[in-house]
Amino acid sequence: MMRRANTDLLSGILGLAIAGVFWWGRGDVGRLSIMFPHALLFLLAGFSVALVVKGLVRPERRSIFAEGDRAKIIGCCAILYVWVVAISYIGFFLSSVAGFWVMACYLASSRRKVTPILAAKLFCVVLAEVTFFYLIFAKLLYVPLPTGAFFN
Amino acid sequence: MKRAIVLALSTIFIVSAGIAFAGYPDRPITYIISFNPGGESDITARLQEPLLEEVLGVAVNVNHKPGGGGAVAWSEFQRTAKPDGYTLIGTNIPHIIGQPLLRKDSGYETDGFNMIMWFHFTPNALIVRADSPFKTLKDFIDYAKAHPKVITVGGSGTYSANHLETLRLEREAGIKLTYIPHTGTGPLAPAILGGHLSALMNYSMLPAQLGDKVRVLAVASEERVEALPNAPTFKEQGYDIVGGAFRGVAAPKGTPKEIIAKLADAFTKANKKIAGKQVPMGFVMTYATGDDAQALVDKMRKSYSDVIDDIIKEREKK
Amino acid sequence: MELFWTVSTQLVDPFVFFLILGGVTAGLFVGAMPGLTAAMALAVLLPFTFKLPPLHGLVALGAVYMGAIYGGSFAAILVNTPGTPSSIATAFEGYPMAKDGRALEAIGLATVSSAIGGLAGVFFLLLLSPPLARLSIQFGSAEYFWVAMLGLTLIASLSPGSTLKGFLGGSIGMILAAVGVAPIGGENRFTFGMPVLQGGVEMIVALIGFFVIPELFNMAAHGRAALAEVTIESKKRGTFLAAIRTVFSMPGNLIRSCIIGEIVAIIPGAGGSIANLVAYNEAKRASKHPERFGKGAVEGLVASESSNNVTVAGSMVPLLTLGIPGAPPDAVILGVMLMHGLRPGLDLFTVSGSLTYGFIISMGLAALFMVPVGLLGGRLIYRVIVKTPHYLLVPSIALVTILGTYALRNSLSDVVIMLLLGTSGFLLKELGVDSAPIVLGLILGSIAEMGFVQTLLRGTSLEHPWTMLFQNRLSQIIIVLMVLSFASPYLSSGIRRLKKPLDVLREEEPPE
Repeated sequence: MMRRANTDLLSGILGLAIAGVFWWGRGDVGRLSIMFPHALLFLLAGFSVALVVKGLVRPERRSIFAEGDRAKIIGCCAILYVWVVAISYIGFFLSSVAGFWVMACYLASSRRKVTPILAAKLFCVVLAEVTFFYLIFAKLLYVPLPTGAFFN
Repeated sequence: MKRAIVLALSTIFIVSAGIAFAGYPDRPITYIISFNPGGESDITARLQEPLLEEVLGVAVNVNHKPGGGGAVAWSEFQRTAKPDGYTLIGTNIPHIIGQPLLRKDSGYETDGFNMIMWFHFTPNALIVRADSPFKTLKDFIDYAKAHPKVITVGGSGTYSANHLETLRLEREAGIKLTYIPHTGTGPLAPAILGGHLSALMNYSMLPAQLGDKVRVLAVASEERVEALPNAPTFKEQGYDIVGGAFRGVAAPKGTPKEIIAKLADAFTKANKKIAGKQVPMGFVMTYATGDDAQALVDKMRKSYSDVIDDIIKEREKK
Repeated sequence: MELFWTVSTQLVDPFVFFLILGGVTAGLFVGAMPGLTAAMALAVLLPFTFKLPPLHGLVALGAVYMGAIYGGSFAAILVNTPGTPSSIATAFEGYPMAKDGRALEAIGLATVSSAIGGLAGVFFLLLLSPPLARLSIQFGSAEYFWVAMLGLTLIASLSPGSTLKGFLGGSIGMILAAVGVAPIGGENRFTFGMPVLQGGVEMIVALIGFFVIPELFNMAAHGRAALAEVTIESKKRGTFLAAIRTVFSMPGNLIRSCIIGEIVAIIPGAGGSIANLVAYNEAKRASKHPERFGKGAVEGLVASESSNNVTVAGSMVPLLTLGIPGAPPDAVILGVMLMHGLRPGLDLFTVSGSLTYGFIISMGLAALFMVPVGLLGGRLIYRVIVKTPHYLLVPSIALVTILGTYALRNSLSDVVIMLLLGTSGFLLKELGVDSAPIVLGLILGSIAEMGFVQTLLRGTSLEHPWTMLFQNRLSQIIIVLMVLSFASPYLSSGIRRLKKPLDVLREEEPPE
């Protein structure tokens, strides 16, 4: 179990980190382009420092990532990233059928055993649904979906 | 043996390339617009779409990829589009001239396109509200000479056609103005009508649309614009200022000549039909194809070079 | 009177009815899909409308626009994802209602409120155009800056936990909005060497990321579908008549929200994305039970949905009278009008009066048509979502999200940005930094920057350029509103604290 965390301190540090990254990445640009972002960075840093101070003086503690199945979140997150990255290599259609199917089987496994029959059934549903949305976007709305190595 | 293989391969290549454009086009063409829906580039493309389909016999799909004043789409196009004539992109002068020179990481080159055609020109115009004390360009310049930086001139974008033209006017007339960039033409109308700015440097369509609520002091074209017969040009008033935005279409570098010629022909036919609608709106139709299209880029690059050099010098000083 | 007859005979035409019905239905679909925007739908329709006579073309576009703004409420209520930025506040109340098994009730309320909002917008447009147009051009760059600042005061009421964390989120959102080409200055900032970041973080991409992805993770973590089945009691309240009764039982809220919607609509560039949040905030402040907000308060839903549909016809005021497009879809409509040789201005209401009034009234009809289409469509979508097992629903939402984000600018990089923002949004939420203030910062960041820098430039010739920010009467009015809005939660809690000891005393009085 996760300990109860000092969220004020954590979010303050995170805010400072974000401000730092953007300060470093602001580029070498003229006064007009940067005056407002500068002000924003100071603002962000100010709120972060205030949160850090509050975190040290009167922290708000609460348990984080306590609800539900944490493994499922990480799993889904990983599948989602692989799915999206795969689009640029194997195209939208193949990647989505695969990503959708894997995620469906993965989530279904928490409630019941995923038998080959269930997996096959899911595959049919997935194929139908992806095809449906593919046709709407590519053929009706003329969205040029990424094609990748297969499918032209 | 080796030579034979090379010969065979190159024959296959040439023949297949020949087949490729003999049947061109045989599938839908994607036409990318690098600006938001509703802008001039988009609406022109939407007008062209059915006419192009008629001439070419295949579907032409207009897509948007807005961002960075066009640069997002242009940089991706130059990196990824295949030179097969099935992916085209709308291009704009002076954007494709100014951005690569003035911006870090613009991600594309002015000469990285194979220009098909420039189909119209919208000259810049210096516009004031109808009740403005500036009745003529002379009033405007005299006042600016006496009061440097007091006159505020609004326009669309930074380092855009409007901005560069304002800088050129400052240079030519020896005056100092305060240029205020806006995002697109949309916010300019309320800014001038509400009296928040002294003048606008914007395209000839805006006064054609706003009618007698505004007065045009000068237009930056060679001759008077058909839709604004009462608006004098800068040239008539003794300033050699000609400029504005050209809109056109390009294919990726390396696209076969035959395909470019076929597309240029289709766009020319479409443009002739659209002229009836666009001329009253303040557009000036152009028909620069082939070498003329590239020559136009070179000519405009030369004419903006002084102003762009000034900007770069100014920046380095700081 | 003669004009009235020509307008009516024009509209009483089966083809016109077909266009409105089809337009509203198509708009509904577009609005319900996160990522598909009203502007994009209108642009796709453009070539088609050029083949129609001007009135028919405009009627079709107006109907799609109206339907799209309303359709955003479905996704907001059923999956906690505002389909368009115009229904962010709808999600705040609609989704908790749906979770409690009150989905149909929420859809009914959203439908009736949207229809009333749409009609109110038409009413303002018909009767009050000239004075509203004059007010509209009073907004200059300084006013824009202060409007954005006024908007930021909403953060205080949008962050349920700590206000400080809300402001942290707000500034993160504003910095995200600053990525890319500077709106003024034209140079690249925060692009970290990647040309694709010149395009910045598109507001809708962030909206999808921050709202959908955390919800997706939650659904996966709990291994359940998003919604509970509708309870029998709620089913009764979900009927059309019951919804009408509920909505009309709060006339004050309705009128206030419609007026807010109209005022925001005539400020070019603001639009429905701000209107719904302001109306929501005001409903919360005026409510006798502000503590119910965020847990399914009906008033908040009604305020959000009525105000955002006012903006559809409302933004036509500056468009038709002055040619100023207030929102991206308006730009497309302006393009169509110019293409048909119709120039915005007085002529539009006199010389081409029958066409203009025909268009305006058709928007009112579209608002009415939303009721049957919306109630049927809403029920259908609800049933699909409730019957789908969670292991299919979660990846389905992921699929639609990926598609919608991609289609927005045809960019795969946007999908990656969406995922990254969504994941960070989930982590931040666990730390108590809510998504709503971040998105608010994103919406207002660029408006604030533009207003600020433009105003300073306008003041170049002054001794102190920043004084330009305070010079206009309208700016001063907005500043006062801003201070009041910021101070009011503290004032009211102060008053309550003063009152409390008295209450305690009263309670302690021995009963006689």
